[in-house]
Parts: sequence; structure tokens; C-alpha cells
Amino acid sequence: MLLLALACTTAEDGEVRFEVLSDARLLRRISLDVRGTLPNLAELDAVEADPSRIETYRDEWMDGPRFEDRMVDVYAEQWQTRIDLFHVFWTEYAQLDDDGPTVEYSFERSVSDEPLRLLAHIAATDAPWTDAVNADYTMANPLLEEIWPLEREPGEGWTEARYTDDRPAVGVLATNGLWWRYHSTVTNFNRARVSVVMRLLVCHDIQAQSVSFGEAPSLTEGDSLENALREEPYCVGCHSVIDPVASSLFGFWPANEHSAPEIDRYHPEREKLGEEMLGVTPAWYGTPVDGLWELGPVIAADPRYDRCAVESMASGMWRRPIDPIEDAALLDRLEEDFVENGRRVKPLIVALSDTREYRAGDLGSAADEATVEAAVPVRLLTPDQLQSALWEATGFSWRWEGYEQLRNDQYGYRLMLGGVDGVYLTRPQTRPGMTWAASAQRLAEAAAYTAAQSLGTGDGLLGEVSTGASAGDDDFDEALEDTVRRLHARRPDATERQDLAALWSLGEDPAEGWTIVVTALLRDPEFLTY
Amino acid sequence: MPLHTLSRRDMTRLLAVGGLGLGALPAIAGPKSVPPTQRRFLFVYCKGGWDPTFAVAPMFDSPYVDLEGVGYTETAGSLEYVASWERPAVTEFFEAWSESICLVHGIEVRAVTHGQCVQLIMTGTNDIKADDFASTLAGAQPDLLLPSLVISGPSYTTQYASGVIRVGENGQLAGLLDGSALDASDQPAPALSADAAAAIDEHVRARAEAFREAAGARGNGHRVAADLEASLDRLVEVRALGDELDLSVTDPTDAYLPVSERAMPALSCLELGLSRVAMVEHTGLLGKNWDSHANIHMQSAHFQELFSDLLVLLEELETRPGPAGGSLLDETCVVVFSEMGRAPQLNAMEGKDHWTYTSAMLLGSGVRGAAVIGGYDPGLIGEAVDFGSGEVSDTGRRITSADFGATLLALGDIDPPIGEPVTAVFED
Repeated sequence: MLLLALACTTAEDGEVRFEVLSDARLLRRISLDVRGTLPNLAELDAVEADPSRIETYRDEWMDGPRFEDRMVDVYAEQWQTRIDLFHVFWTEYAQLDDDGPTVEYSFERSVSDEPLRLLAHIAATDAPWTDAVNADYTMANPLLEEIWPLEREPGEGWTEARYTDDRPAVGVLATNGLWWRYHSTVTNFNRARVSVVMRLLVCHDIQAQSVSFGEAPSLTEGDSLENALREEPYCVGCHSVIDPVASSLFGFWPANEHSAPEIDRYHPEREKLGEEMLGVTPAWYGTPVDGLWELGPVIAADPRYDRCAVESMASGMWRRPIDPIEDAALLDRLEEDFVENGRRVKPLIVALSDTREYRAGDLGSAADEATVEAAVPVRLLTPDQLQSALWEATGFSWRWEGYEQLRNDQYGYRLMLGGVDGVYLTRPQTRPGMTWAASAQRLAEAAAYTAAQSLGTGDGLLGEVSTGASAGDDDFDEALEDTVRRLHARRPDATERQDLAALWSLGEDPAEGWTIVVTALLRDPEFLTY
Repeated sequence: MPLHTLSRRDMTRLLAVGGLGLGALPAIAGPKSVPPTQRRFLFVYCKGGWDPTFAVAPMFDSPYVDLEGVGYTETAGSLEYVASWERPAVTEFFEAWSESICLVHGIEVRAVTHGQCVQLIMTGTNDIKADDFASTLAGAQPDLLLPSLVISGPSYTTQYASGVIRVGENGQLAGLLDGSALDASDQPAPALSADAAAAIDEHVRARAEAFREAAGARGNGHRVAADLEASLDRLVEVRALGDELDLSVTDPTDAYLPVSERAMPALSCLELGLSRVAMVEHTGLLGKNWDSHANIHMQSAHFQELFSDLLVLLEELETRPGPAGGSLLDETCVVVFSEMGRAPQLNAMEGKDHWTYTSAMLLGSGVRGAAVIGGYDPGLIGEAVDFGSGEVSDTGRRITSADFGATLLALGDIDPPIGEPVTAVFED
């Protein structure tokens, strides 16, 4: 029913606003968005023969093994837990000593990815989104199992796990990873955490509210901040909402935010401290809760919760901020559909991928000024997409000393390639810069070199290419076309074939020739955008 | 050896050989100015929220402000500042540069969290699509090779993205430019031959041009394509500079490398006329960050570190030639700032929480020296200011972060889209 509604919408205004991508490029976009990799030649061939296969593939991919990993990256961009340093270092854990310094990155990403893994798992298993704040489990890998008080289901990598320190079953709100990222100082009493919960779960950005202490009379007379927050009407306006939520989080309130035993364990004995320290009983926007265990269900029942889930995913897939007015009608329908479908993420992604804005490859002839300014028919691949797509296509993964170089900024290139760290950059770069171009160049060269090592081996991007194929013969032409299609989801024209063949000829041997060709293809705007 | 590879330790040694300590340097007269269009900017951002009452804003007369025991009000020239035996660098700096310093007090950043405050002090607005003042200043000179160089720290930009150059936390850009980044990999790759690299550059540039032509003349596709072409051109030109441009960090493995050393590539780019704006983040002593919710006394160590770094940077700026013919300091406005201040009273952890009023220190090109703009009332609330005279005035208004940014933009000959310039900051 929703599809019909969307089709109707697009027929009314979408067709004049947007030109739709070619089938092959649409398949590529969907593939990169739901599994982080490029479509292979068989998939491209199938869609070329029957465009309706796009939807079939999309649905298959969402049930496939890469979907959950991809969702981790999608939520990472929004929840921004992947910072490079937490208040507690890996050296606090003697269990990790044997692993040496290269465990530093694994430690950071294990901590940062815990909440993301849970959200992604909920999406991948078709569980209702309400589980994000109601689940009685988290996700953990062997490293987290080694250092935190939790029991993990057997298996490799990330599996479901349960904390053993009596923390309530409130999904992501009970994860160490979330609260390590959004830590509270002792004297902040969880208040900053509350603003994060409000922003991420009900899309209420209370931090955006203008605050002027000069307009708070008691502060101008030298009253303390803490008193003012409780008694000064100017402050109480917001803090009457913030403090009751903060009061429910005192099981995670640290007596020392730099101490591992303090922040990796829940403290049930502190649950009632909030009432004493903040002078308010726990509540969510005026609805009383008995504690954190009840906060999750109340948040899930908040009318804004569903809308926020839809808006967040729409913003991610349209690659632009939501316009609450322009987008309202479409979001209304998407939200209605989301609820009808049991608040599951996969149907939401399906619905969003059917929107004309998602499928746009260009502006339509009659696009209005607002659309021209806001719409993003040409998207830059994110560092996460580059990481997963190149690994799958070429076998190259830029790692060094244990660090994934496209997922950190300490030594790597995440921000330089347009990503977000949640600290210095909170929204992905939408336009290329020189740093981006320099990073993309070296990434392309390294990936191309790795790909060329597969020449004639029967495996990998160039595995089927004969080492004897040279420019001008049929095998070479066929290999060239296949490589361009695999990386760009389009066929090269005659001029481009000539140009690429000339580049190939610069190599001293076939492997070097293909390194040059693949480097050029990976630096091509048709590869770096989608 | 290029000058910018001299470390602070080297500088100190050289000065010692000459029988001079930094503190013995003569006071510098106010800088000669350049036209605003030629003015450059060096931003030094103190991450985490500094406490101006430790160095630049004496508040000893206030009954409401908890102050450290060892500080006292001192005067350098006509400027009052906070001196302490713990922070000799502050005194050295004020004695050396008081005639050039403009202190702006009571800047109101209307938020209480770091993320929001950084956004506001950098852009003056909550609009997440806004370009920050640094990017905007650089964006006015898009033909420069490296318009806005971000050594470290925040950067908010949408329309000027192609002109914002990130050096990387540990100078990664240098490795990307010279190709050594390819070795920093578990799957290292050899560099391509120069001929092959040049041929690929040419091919990719042609493909980018075709991409732009296909994208049409408007909308996001056009913007992406145009920026891609500009970025590729920049990359080729920057690489052609070769050894003339050294963006490497002296010791990339030293996480606590002083800002005075970390910022040297920025000074080189300003000196060579490659950049209009450079940004460097100061994270305090040993990278501990200025966010002193516990033990406010750490601010003392942070200010000592900051002013030690500034002494070196200012000396460098004064001794290096600027692209327009004067000293680099004649042509560069130095902006030292933080996203927020600290509350007047100590909390239970002997620290101070966030405060919506802060100070900034400007000096150099275009800035009136020996000047104090605005002030604080006894409760550390920013006072209303007459923007023309800089005096506290009942008929004025508080300086907002948008006004602060408008002042910087006006110094750079840009009509501010929001806010009102505090003209008292400008030199006569």
C-alpha cells in the first residue's frame, strides 16, 4: 500500500524534480547502502536483463550476511560512538597485556561498536525497533567478554550477550559503549547523557536551545550553578525535563569517570542516588518512571520515537538533513507504514529505497529551488563504504599496526576522507576537497596494487584475466569492460577504452599495467560517487 | 634545513647561544597593517573550555568568583592580566606583546555543551549547514592553493569544503602527498612510476571534467563535480611544490607534541602565501584538555603551556616574512579562543563547570593593541558593550559568538551574514 502511495507521490511531484538513476547504477547504490559492497557482474547482468530484479536483490541482500555489518556503519554515522580515545585506556585491563599495543584499536572499536552492534542486530533480525530500548541483551565480542561483566553466547565475532551486574534490560540504554562515549562527569550528574538520549531516540535536540546565564537572575547575583538549575525559573524550564531523566541513570553515574571498575560496571546501589543528588524523581517528559528499567518502555511509547526512527534512517539514505516541513507528508506515510510493519527496520529501508529522492541520479528539469539546494542525487562514498567495498572487490583493507585506517583519525584517514568522528565533524562531508582527493588517490593505488596481484589466479577482481591478454586483443577488451562494470556499474565507451588501454601500456608488465588501470578507475568520479 | 623544522627546543638553544632568553626580547610595537583582503588568520583553539580568570580576566574584586590562591593582578603596559609564579610564560607573553594584544571579554556562547558551544563559537549559529568563520575567510580567496589549513581541531563547512585542507592529527597529509602513506599498511604497495602517476592524474582530471559536464550547471551534482576538479588541480599543484612545502610533523609519534611545533607547517603555508587561514588546536598540558570539571588548578598548567607555545609562535610570526612584504605578523591576525568559559564557583570536585561567557585574545594584523573590549560583572556575566568604543556600556549589548565572528570576517573584508562587528577591535 505504501508503495502505491509513494508512486502516487512521485507521479505528482517527484518526476519533475528528479531524474532516476540507470538500473545498474541504482543497483550499485542499493548494494552499497545495504551491504557496503559493489554488485558483481552476474547481478549486473541479471538486472540488465530484468530490471525488476533490483528489488529481489535488495531483499536478498538485506537477509544476507553483510547487512548487519553495514547497519553498524550506518548507525555509527548517526550515533557517533566511534571515537578514538575513551576515558579509560586498554592498559587498564591486565587481561589485554599479552596482546600488545596493537590491541589498542580493537579495544576502542569493540567499546564503540557495542551499541551499534545491538542496533544493527535488531535491524538484521527483523526485531521491532522498540527493542533498541527494551532488549534484554547486548552484543559482545571475545574482547569485551574478557574485560566486562557479561556472558556471551558461543560463537565467533559478535554474539548476543548479557551483563551479569544486575543492570536493567533496556537495550542500548544499558550498554557500556553508549555511556563510555557519552560519559558524565561526576558533577554533571548524567545531564549531558540525557540530551543525547533525547536527540537520538526522539529527535529532540535540547542542546540546540539557546541558553544565556545572563538572563538567569540568581546567577547574576552569584548563586551557584547547581542551585540555579534547581530553583532558577530560567534554568528550570529545561532542567525540569532533563533532570528527571538524569535521575534514572544513576546506576551508570561514576564516582570517577576515569576508573575502569567504576565505569565498566553498573551500580544498582546508586539507582536512588539521583533523587537525592538532583532532588527529583525519575521521569520522561513528565511521565514518572520507577527507574531505568522502566525508562526504556516509556521512551518506546513516546509518540516521537517512531517518527525519529523514520527520520534518522531517511536522513541517512537521502544523505541530507530532514526538512520538517518539506518532508512532512512523505515522512507521515513512511511512519505509518513503519508502524504497520511492526516497527521493523528492513521494511523501512525498502520503503525509503523506493522513494524517488533515493533513486534520483540527477535533478529534474522542473526541480524547484529548494530541491536544487537540498537534494543529494550524487553522493560521495563514505570511508566505511570504501573500506568494505574495496575489501570485497580487491582484497585490500587498509590496516596498520592493528588500526583500520579508514575508521580512525589518530593515524588514519577517516575525517580526511569525509567521514565523521562525532567530535570535530558530526556530519559527513558531501563535497570533495584536496585532502579527500589525496586520501582517495593513495587508497586507490594500494587497492589497485593488491587487485593486480590476483591477475590470472582465478580469484579476485582480475582473477579471470589472462596474464597474456594485452591491449588490443579481445581478452583484454573483455577484461577491461568487466572491470569497469564491476567498479562503476556502467560500460566504458570507445574513447575510454582507448584511454585505459593507453594507461595499461605504461606498465612494464601486465600486473603493473592493471595496477595503473585499476588505480585510474578507483579514482574516477564514477567510482567515488554513487 | 627549512626554518620551520626548528623545534621550540632548538629555538631556545639558539637564543641561549646568543645570550638571550625569550623573556628578554624587546616589546614589539603594534604591527603595520595590510589591506583586509591580504590579511591572514591563525586560529588557536583551546579545546574544552578555558577559564579566563586564570590569565586574561582578573576577577579578584568579585565576591562571587572562586579564584586560585597564587594569582594576582599584574599590569603590562596598560593591560591588566593575571600573573602567578606558576605561569611565568603568561607574564613573559604580556610583557613582550601587551602593546599588540586585544582582549575581548564577555563573549556569550548561548549553549552549555561542548559540541554546541564549539559550533556556536566557530559559526555563530546552530545551523548545522553553516560554514565556520575560518572556512568563510578562506573561501573568499579560493584561488589560494591551501585556503584553510586545519592542522588540528574542528572545522565546519559545507560550501567551502574544497578549500579546507586537513593535515591530519599526526600529519598524515604529508604521507599522502609524498606516497609514504602506502608503506604505512599491512599490505604495502610500491609507488607508481612518475610517468604512470602523471598519466593517471591527467586521465582522472579529464574524467572529472566529463563528469561535471554531465552533471549540469546546478544542484549537488554540479557542486560535487566542480569541487572534484578543483581538488584534483590543487593536489597536482601542491605535489609540484615538492620539498618547498613540508607539512610533516616533527615527531608524529609524540601525541603531546607542543602546539608551537605542531603549528609550524601552518606558519610555513601562511608565509608562502599558500593559505589564508590556519587552525590549530591546543589541548592543554599533555593533551589533558581544558575541560576542568575536577581540579580547576589544571588551568594553571594549561595556560603556562599555551603561553609558552604562543611565545614561540609570535616570535616566529614576527621573524618570518609575509607574502605582502612585511613580517608575517604584520599580515596575520592571531585569534586565541575557547568554546566556553568556566563557572565562577567551584563544584564539589574542586573543578568548575561550563559557563556561557568566555574571553578571546586577538593580536596582530588589523587588531588594536593594548585594548580591552568588554568585561564581566561580579557574577562573571558578560557586560553590555558599546561596539564602537569597546567600553562597558548600559546602552550597548553583550557580544555574542556571532558578533565575535562578524568581527573576524570584517577584519578579512567579508560582509558578515550574521552578527555585528565589534569595531573597537580594529586598529585605527
